[in-house]
Amino acid sequence: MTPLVASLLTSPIGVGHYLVVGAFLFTAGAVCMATKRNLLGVLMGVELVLTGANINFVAIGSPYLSENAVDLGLDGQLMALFVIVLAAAEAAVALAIALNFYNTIGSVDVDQASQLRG
Amino acid sequence: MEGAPLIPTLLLVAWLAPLAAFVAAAVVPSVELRRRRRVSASTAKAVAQVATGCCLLSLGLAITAMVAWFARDGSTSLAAPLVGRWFGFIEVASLSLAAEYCVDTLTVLMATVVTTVAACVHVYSLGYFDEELAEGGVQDHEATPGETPLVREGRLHRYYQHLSLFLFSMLGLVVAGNLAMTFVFWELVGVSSYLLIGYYYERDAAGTAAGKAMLVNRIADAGLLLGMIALWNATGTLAYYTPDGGGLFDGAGLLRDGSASEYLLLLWAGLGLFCGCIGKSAQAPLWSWLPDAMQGPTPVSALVHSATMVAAGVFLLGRVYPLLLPEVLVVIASVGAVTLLLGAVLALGTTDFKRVLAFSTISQLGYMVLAVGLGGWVAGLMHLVTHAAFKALLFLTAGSVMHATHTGDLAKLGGLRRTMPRTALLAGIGVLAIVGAGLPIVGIGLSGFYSKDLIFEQAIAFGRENSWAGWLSWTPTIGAVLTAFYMGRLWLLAFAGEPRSEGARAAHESPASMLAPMYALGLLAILVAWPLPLVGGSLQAALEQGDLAAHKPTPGAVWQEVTIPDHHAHHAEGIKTQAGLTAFGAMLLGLLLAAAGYRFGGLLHPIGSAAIGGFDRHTMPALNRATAWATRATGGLLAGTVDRLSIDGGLTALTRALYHGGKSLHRIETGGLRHYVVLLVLGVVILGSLAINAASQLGVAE
Amino acid sequence: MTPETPPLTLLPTLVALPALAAIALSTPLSPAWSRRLTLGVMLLTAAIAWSLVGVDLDHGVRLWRAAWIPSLGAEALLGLDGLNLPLVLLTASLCPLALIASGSVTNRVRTYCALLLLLESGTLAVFLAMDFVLFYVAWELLLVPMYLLIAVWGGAERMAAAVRFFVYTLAGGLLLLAGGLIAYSYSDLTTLSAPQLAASGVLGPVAVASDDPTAALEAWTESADPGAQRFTRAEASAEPARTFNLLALVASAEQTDALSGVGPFGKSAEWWLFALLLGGMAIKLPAVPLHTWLPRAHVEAPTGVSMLLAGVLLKLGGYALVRIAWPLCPTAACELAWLVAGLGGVSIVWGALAALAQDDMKRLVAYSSVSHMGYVLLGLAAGAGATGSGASAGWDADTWRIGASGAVFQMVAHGVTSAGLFYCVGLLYERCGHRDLRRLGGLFNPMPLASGMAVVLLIASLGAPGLCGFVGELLTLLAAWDAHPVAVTLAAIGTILTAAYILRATRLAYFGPVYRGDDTAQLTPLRPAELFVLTPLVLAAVTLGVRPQPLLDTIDKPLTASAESLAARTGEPPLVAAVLSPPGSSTEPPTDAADAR
Repeated sequence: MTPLVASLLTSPIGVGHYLVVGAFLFTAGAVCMATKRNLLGVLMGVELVLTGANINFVAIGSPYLSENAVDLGLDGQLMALFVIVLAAAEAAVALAIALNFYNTIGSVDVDQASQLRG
Repeated sequence: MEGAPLIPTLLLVAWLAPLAAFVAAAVVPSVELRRRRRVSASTAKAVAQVATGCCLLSLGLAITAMVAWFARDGSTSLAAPLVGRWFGFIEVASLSLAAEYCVDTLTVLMATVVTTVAACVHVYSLGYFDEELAEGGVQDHEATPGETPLVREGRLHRYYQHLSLFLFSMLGLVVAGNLAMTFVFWELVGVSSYLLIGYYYERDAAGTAAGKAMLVNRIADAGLLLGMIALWNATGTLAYYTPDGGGLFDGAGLLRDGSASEYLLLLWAGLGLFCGCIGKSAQAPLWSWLPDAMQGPTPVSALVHSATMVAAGVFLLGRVYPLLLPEVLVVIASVGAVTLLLGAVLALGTTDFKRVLAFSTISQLGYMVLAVGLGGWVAGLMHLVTHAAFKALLFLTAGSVMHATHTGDLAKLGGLRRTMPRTALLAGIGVLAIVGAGLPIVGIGLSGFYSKDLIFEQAIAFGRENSWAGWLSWTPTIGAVLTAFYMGRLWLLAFAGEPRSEGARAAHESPASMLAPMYALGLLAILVAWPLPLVGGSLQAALEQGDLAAHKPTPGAVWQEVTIPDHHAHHAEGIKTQAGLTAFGAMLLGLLLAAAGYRFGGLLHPIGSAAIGGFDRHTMPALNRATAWATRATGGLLAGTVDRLSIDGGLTALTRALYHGGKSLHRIETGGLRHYVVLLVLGVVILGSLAINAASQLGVAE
Repeated sequence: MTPETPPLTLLPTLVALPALAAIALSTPLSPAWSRRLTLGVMLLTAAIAWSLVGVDLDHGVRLWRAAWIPSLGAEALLGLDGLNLPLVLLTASLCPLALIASGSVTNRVRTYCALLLLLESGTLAVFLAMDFVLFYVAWELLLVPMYLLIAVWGGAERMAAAVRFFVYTLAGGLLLLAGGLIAYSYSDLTTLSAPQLAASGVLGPVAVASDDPTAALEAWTESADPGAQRFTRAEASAEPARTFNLLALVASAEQTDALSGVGPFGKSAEWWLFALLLGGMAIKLPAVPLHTWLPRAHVEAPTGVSMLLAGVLLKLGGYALVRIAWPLCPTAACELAWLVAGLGGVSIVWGALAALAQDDMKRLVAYSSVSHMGYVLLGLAAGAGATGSGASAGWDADTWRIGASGAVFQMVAHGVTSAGLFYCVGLLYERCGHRDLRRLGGLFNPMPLASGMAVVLLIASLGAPGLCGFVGELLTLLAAWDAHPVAVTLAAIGTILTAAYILRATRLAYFGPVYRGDDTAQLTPLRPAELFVLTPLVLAAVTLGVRPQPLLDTIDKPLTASAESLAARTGEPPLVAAVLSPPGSSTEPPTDAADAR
């Protein structure tokens, strides 16, 4: 563990650093989803996870960060754009669900959302 | 010789005529039943007449065939059998089962015996069953004892239908030229016997007796079936003889002279065949169905259960005699000896007219089986012929008595010689014939005298060859004493003395249609073994023409102390006189005992009869019931416990385990969003690490 | 001269007609008209089936073919030979009788009729299918109507019985599917010679008996047939061309010994294939210990459905064994013959003992089916390693032929008697409202004809000569003795027990002074429709018993071919040469087997 951290701290900024940030955001999002009982908090966690994934996409796809990128190098950015669009759509749908949920249950506590359980 | 090719054709027609009657009797009344809801008396009568006509036709053809057979060759040497094929039945690959005939002395004699008795019974039944044709149905007092009698419609047509089926099957059995055909008709006589015993199917006793007869026969037939299968697999043929010498008997000869295992196979096959005989001829230990079979109509008892079908076992032994090894013959003789004593003893313990006759049949069949087992082919089969005549006669007299008095209980009979003199006379002839009345040194007597003497001679001859087998040569003598005693007892109780019930007092002589066949059989019971005055032949001489017994003494290979005497052994010095005197003495002793019992009382229940009757009426049925119960309980165990609990239960348990497994997995589906997220992340992490691991390993490999 | 073998378009008609009628029943027809339409179609189907008797089957199988799923290599291939002709006739004849026997069905008659029609169509398709995929699909399709027929129109515990039937049969079907896929993955059309390709119908129906198979092969490879294109592609790239054609599968198994290589657990692929097929069919047959679905299904099913279930559906298992399992895996079959015979012998005794213990007459007849189908297994095991001297452990062609003929005969005979007996039980149930033997009795006098016919059928089932049960039993026992004496002895004991339960049923149900049940029973004589059902069955029982040879002749030709192939593939090497020679020279029956003894 220590050599990895040391090499990250000593080397110039590269893909690895971005991946660390992405992983951090992903983990934070996942933990947020798993621990928050507030539906809006869960939604924020989802957004965080998506952002973490976006950073990874951009970092790996960037021609500035990897030497052997020979193509146009827009794949990652493209995927990131898709993810952003999807995240927006998902947020719209999720907020609608949240509003409905609040109207029926009278709260935004996700633990109460278990009527569909078999 | 020109008669020879005709004989099979004659027998074919004689065989198929009853089949035609059967088909007609099955179809015509059924159609009428459908149309008019009942079968009219005139149809029933027509069916009866057609069946009788067919039977008489068969009789005529059989007699013609017999005359043609004995006339075809003047010499008395062993004549070669006529064999051939009528039509095919099953042909697959090397297996060929066909309706084949094998005509020899045994065939023509047996065919004549069967058709003669059958003709008498057909005619007799026309008179005996007059109540079946009564207007307004038949009253059956025995079906519902203690209640109002059951009224049913007459069904004479069905009686004659089954009788025709029986005659067809019996003749098929007689003319059969291969073991498979024998087996087929062996089973068919069993089926027709089942139907005939079950004629009064409203009576529970009759239904049970019918089923018992069939079942016991089936037990024995399993042995016959296995024996037949083993023989076919060992020899590749089932025909007794073939013109080119490739038949079963030649095949068996090869097996006998072959290796030890082949000899053993023939031994087992022979025992299997004899097993069939044990069932059909009611030998120990499978005798108990025959007394019960007396629940059938009495004419049926006369034809099926005394004269012909039960004798088919002995006929089978006579037919397959060359297949039987000395060891098997000794087993046969022992079973026969046990049976003849058993039957004679059991006859003492019952007071039912027909049941006494049934036990006497068992005992006489024991005589025949014993004789064949001792190597006395001629003796055994001659007794078969004479027994058919006098036992059929005795049963018909029993029918006559029961027709007149409506009871067969000896305790309620008595004094019938005054009200039914002709029946009494004929019964007397029958009794004298069965006890073997005759003058020993002079050599004149009733038919039973000749055949019984021959059996005694054979027993003595066998005893001379085999010093260890003393008991086999003495049992006939003990049996003869007992026979004379119980037959004398029967006649004295039924016909002598004073009537012991109202029914016996009001008895009347039977009509002519019943008496005529009885007279015919009475004549035969006296004459059948007499030498023919003009032709110069006799029953014994005729049988000796077809004797299948060995020409030289045959020792056993596995059990070497056994030696079956050759077929001339009983002509040896002094045997005839010894046998004649022994038989005469035994008969006299038995008759004297019976007369003494009559004079001093106690004839109805002789000493020990209670124990014997108890064995017959309580111990044996209890044994049978216990066997049946045990078998059914096993079935119940299999169907209930094993099928339902183990196999089905196993499946149910499996289903339940799957269900509960699903249920327990169900618990992780909490419905809580946060749990799902955790699981999701865990899944991603595990899958991702697996993927990275695999990718890095690939990288290492490259 | 090339014998004419044009495509037999009657075969698809036979399969499609009932199915189309079932679709037609989706229109709102009244119950009476549904019955009439169904009966008409079923009678028409029966008439078409009986017209097949005149088809010339001397030159091999008669086929009809259409493209179906080319990407899988599966075709709609229907074929007719002596083996399935009797079973097709049995099916087509029993279906109308079963419909008439369903007179007491009053709810949802239209659906009932449609399901019966689907059942008929599926059964005929199974019997006629010469392509494994078609065979399997039809096999599974059968399940649905049968399941519904039991589950909707059955007795009190119908759901449990129907589910059990479904699960058992589905399991059997899956084993069959696994077996079929194994066979498929080992098949290779390119190893077959032109005559073999022609004879197994790969080249089309017309070429089956062609004089010049090579020319037919060339014509086929140049045709647009998707199978032909696959074949040429495979040949060009030296890859195997797989096939689902049942006849070609067998021919391919004859040609290559790929199946006999060592597979899992040290057993050959052939051994596994055979074990799978045997397991699947033992469920359907059914053999002890996989029989427990049968009594339940029968007890719950309505009369007409019981008739079809016992009369026809049980034959599918035996048919699949003769058609697929034995020809595909002779060596494994020989190796496992002891197991097959043992299953047969145990089934005979077990079924008979269980039948003896029953008081429900329908359950008794159901268990008797288990007992009787045991003879099928016993007959098929006949002749294994039975050459006596121990020189060869292979099949004895002659003995197997006898045993297998007996087995097929037994299937047909049991189809007749069991259908008849279930109908007789149904008659009693309709009149008395129960089937408890202890409360029946005395039926002979009020119902003389029905009882007389029932007794004939019972005695036929008992195996008395002159009626149809005897022939199959005798043939199988005769043939099986040499190889399996213990199983035959068991079967002989089984004949005693059979007599015991049959006679018991006869005595309790029909004999006796009076009916022992309550007074509400209507012991009326047979109605004309009922007579119409019972009479053909009784006549068939008598006819088959008196004159078995026509049926035996019909089934003999395909069985002879199978027997020779079995013997050649498991026997000594020189025998293999015989099967490779042209078909004409090897059709002589091996007469020396009997003489050699």
